[in-house]
Amino acid sequence: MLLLISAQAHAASPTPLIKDDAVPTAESVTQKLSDKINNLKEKIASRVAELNLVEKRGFMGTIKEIKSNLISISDSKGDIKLVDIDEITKFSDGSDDIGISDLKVGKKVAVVGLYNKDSEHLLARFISIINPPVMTTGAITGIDDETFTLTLTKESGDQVKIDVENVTKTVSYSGTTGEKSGFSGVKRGNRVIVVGFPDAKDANKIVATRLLVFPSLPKNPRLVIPENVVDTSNGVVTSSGSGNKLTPLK
Amino acid sequence: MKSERLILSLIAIFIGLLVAGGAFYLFQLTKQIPNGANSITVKAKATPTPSSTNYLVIDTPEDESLSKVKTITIAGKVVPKSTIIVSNGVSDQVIDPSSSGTFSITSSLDEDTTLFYITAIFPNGEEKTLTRTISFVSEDF
Repeated sequence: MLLLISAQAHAASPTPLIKDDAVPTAESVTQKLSDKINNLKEKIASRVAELNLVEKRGFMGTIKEIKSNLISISDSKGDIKLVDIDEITKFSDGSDDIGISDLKVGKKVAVVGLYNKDSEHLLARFISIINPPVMTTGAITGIDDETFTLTLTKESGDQVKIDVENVTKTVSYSGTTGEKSGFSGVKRGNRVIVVGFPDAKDANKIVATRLLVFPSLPKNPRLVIPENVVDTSNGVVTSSGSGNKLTPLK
Repeated sequence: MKSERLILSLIAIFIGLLVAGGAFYLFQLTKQIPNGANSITVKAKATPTPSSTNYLVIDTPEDESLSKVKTITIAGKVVPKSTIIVSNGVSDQVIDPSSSGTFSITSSLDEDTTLFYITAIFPNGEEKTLTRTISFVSEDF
């Protein structure tokens, strides 16, 4: 009887159960690692896709429109760029930090940020107000040595007044060798490249900072140099053809 | 007996060849040869013609790209014997390309964004100007 009780007691006593998930097996560890690796792979793939979609870019242009956090900018080629700004976009005018309220339509800006190829928007990180020089090419078709102004005719036929100042650096090139020149060194018909800034009062005038003259290069066959142009460089006024002498406008 | 068999075999082969040749000749007669098919035409291989005889291609840098250094190299290809003028906000450089038309020039960047005008004056006097906007950025974002 005692033996029987003893045996029942033994049978009733709880025996510690070993659960399968309590002790990690080699298979479960491998499975967990595999899951983690797959998750990591997905994250990396997602990040790579994101990086391919977004690239760092920078451009300059003129502000056309400002709408809340979206700015439309016309770049140097005339294309419209859409620029988003957020709370971490930095603004400057070249020397000092400024605010978004300092951005006005018509101002020229340089923008650097993250361009999204999908939305075709650039999320600006830096926006600076700038005053970049302009460059134009053509032939000299008029010289006014009283006002030190040149008339430049472009390939398109448009004409631009070039204001030659004391600070204007004039260089005459023979091949690739440049030699310092002056206003008197510029002749009618000379091929030139002008770098300068638009005149604040006259939109059709450029205040030249640099004037590159190429007298030895062939003339542009697409550029028609108009006749009957005022040229006072030699003190001789070109005939208008009508018998009346032209006098330069001052 | 053997020689007779041999002769008969040769005659049979000869007759077989004659019949086969005749059949082939008749088969060839039934074919119609179109006019001009007997002349050999050599077609010239189509080669892409350039859109213009005057070209200017900038290989580097890419437009609107960023640089962490203040010096960049502008390289490309142009019609040989052209003149290349590279202008930015502060300086100009005039160079001749190599005999094959390739060119490479080193220029410096402004603090923010620099607009480069790359002008080619071709041997016939025509010209073409391309621009490249490059931004100098020292900090990561």
